[in-house]
Amino acid sequence: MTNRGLTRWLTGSRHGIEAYVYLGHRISGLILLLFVIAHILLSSSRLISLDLWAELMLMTRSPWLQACRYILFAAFAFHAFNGVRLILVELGFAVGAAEQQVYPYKGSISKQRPMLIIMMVLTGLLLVLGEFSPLRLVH
Amino acid sequence: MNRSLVWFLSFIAAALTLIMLALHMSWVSINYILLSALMLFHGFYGLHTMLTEIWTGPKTGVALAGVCVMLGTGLFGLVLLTELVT
Repeated sequence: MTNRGLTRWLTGSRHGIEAYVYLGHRISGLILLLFVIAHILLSSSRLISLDLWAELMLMTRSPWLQACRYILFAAFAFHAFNGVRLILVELGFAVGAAEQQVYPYKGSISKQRPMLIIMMVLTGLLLVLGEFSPLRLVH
Repeated sequence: MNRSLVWFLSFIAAALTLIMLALHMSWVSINYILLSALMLFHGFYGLHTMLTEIWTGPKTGVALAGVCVMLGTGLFGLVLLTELVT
């Protein structure tokens, strides 16, 4: 029974795309938290010696870590746009007005879904811009 | 601390982090210590929420909160030390 939460994460249950976005928000959040921890530890290596810090910084230039940087950027873009959506929903946007429930009951997911689609399109655009625009946000 | 207050603070931390990172992307200089505090608070609050959904129980929740607070505070201490000493 202790794994109920975890099983629900992985299966998405019957809730459709929103459940997978929920899972994605958590996975991207974990990736970002791991990055923040790694970044703090790497930066604080300056306390030991500047040579160690320079050596670690050189390691971050490896092609493998450059690829990881794009995954990190994707996690950031997804987490940020989905986070904005969650904030807007919390503030009452796209929830719809209160109404008397009549069977068959209607949820507010159909009202929220257009916003979800807009946010995912914006995430996709940012990912393309991040890699291919002259700004090169990723590098 | 009141649970809904911590949730609200995490909500505010997320919004501020996003604004600060957006400014940072526009090459505006931002306060690294403040950004670290916001990210660590929001990150470890989220981690605590996830972990308490897997390992339920009031005592487990308190223990996990303690671990998250210690890790977050320790990492923030490291950020402060690094910024002040170097």
